[in-house]
Amino acid sequence: MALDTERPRTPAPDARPLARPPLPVLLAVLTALLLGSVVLAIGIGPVSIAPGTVARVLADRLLGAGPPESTDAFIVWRLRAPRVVEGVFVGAGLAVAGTVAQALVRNPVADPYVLGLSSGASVGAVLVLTTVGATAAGTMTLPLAAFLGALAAGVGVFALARTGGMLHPLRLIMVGIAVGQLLGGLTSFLVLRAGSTDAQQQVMFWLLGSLAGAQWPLALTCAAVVGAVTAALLAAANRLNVLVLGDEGAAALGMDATRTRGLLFLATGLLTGTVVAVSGTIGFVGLVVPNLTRLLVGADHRRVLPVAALLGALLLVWADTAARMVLAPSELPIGILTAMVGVPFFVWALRRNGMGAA
Amino acid sequence: MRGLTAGWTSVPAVSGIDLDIAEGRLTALVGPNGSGKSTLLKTVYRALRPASGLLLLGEDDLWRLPRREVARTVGVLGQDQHGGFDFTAREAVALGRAPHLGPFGRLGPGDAATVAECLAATGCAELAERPVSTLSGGERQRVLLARALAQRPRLLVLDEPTNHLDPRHQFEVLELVRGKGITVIAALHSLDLAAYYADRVVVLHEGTVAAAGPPRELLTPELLRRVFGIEASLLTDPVDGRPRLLIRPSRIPSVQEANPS
Repeated sequence: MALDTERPRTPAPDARPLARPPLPVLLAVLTALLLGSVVLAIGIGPVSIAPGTVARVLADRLLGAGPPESTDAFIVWRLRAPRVVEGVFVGAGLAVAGTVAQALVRNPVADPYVLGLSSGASVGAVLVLTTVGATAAGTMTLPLAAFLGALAAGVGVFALARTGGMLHPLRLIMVGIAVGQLLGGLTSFLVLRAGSTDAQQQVMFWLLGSLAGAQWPLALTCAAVVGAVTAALLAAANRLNVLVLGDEGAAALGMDATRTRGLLFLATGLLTGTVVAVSGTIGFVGLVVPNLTRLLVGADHRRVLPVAALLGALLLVWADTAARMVLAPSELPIGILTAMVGVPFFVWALRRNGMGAA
Repeated sequence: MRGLTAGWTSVPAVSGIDLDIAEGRLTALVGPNGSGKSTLLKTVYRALRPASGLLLLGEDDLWRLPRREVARTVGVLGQDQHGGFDFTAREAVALGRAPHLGPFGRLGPGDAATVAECLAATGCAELAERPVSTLSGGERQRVLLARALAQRPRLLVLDEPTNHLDPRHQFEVLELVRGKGITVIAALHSLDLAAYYADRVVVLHEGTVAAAGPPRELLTPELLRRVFGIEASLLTDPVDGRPRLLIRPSRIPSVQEANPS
């Protein structure tokens, strides 16, 4: 990283950087795409419902008025809408949490799980699944246990990574990975000890992520947390820019890097804990979407954050639709699809750009 | 600076420093590796809290002022400030406005004008939309200088600004900051550059000030032998009359020893 080379690093000869459209246009297009995708995704299922009908039911519901519930309205509003809405906010939350985690540790290969939070959530969830069982536990027990697990892991990582009033990026990664490994071992132990294949299948499903348990209360809780934290982060986006300059660079620009890092740790912890609690540990979104976004719009977090949120939401809505449909009537864990769709696209964008995202 | 002591470990890297920095002038900080140049500078831009002592900025204790206020007064060109994230040159320079921005960090038209002005002043106008990772070392250093200038500082701190630069770019960086009415403190490795550009030279040795004064009076062969372990001759540049320093290793015997008369 030192200034040791006078020779400019040039991209591969045939590589053109991806064109950078103006931000308002990009945001408008992505928002329109997302709204369209939500309507389409709600229409897709064992019973196919026309987009026009979906839009009408949603409009009726949101405006508070409407005819008595038809079968279509029931399917749209009770069965599918909570799940698709949850997908929107889970995707946005993972993408934003990934963006923040990468700035926090100054490394584009970080993701929301590098801080050990998901492993904590997994222990909480698996503890419930292997002792009480998913069906007996009631709808809120599992998310609550997962959230508490993430919270405990977050507090542990934060406390262990902090030394002498400082919070160093590298130390944060090391402690996060170490704690993650420890909790991963604990998860495996709990699964093996349970012995029942039924519970093991549920655990595997949870670990790969799924929106199958979506209901309005969970979806709305997730939406509220993701919405509030993302709004706060958008207001603080320039602080992320300053933070990636490192402690001394940040100090030179009037920022206390350790304090900012602490606040961002809290923000990403809240996001990750909430999202993992409702959906399990969905991989790749938090890693791939921020990097893809930087290829599209550059490194300025004032652009990266909103675009990453929208792209994450889009990716997850379609990944979940595919998870419902590919092997219908049985479901696939969504993590399989985010990996299979997100990674090839990301590798393509990376190669086309000619250089790393870093 | 009054009785300043600072360091990373319990053994201070610098101690008992008393210095006055002349306003509007270029003060060069020189000293061998590990003499405490960077440590001293870090206390000035608040990257390292002094263990004891006082840093006064005008009348105010620099470590009691709000951080952002300090960053509006003190601009910094550090040794290594590249994050792993690829900003364009314009974005990198715009970060210099961070201490001036409101709570939402939005750049106003005035900020954008300042950024453009600083890019132009450092000859970076054509580089503005290029990602920093594609720039050469000299170009990057100019971009970082533009960022420091975008802070609109009264005091500019340069921590070895000429490292890794070829001769032309070394001159360029110092020419850009000199005689602009900004007070400059620059840690320099090249004694010749210090002699040539500085209004005042401060020599650090083992964490204390060994000597301070105008280059022509200060950079004597005795001092340089004692502090740096080198032989040196202070000359006058035949073209522009400014002081130059010619250095050679101490092992080479002097003329008298080689030819005993």
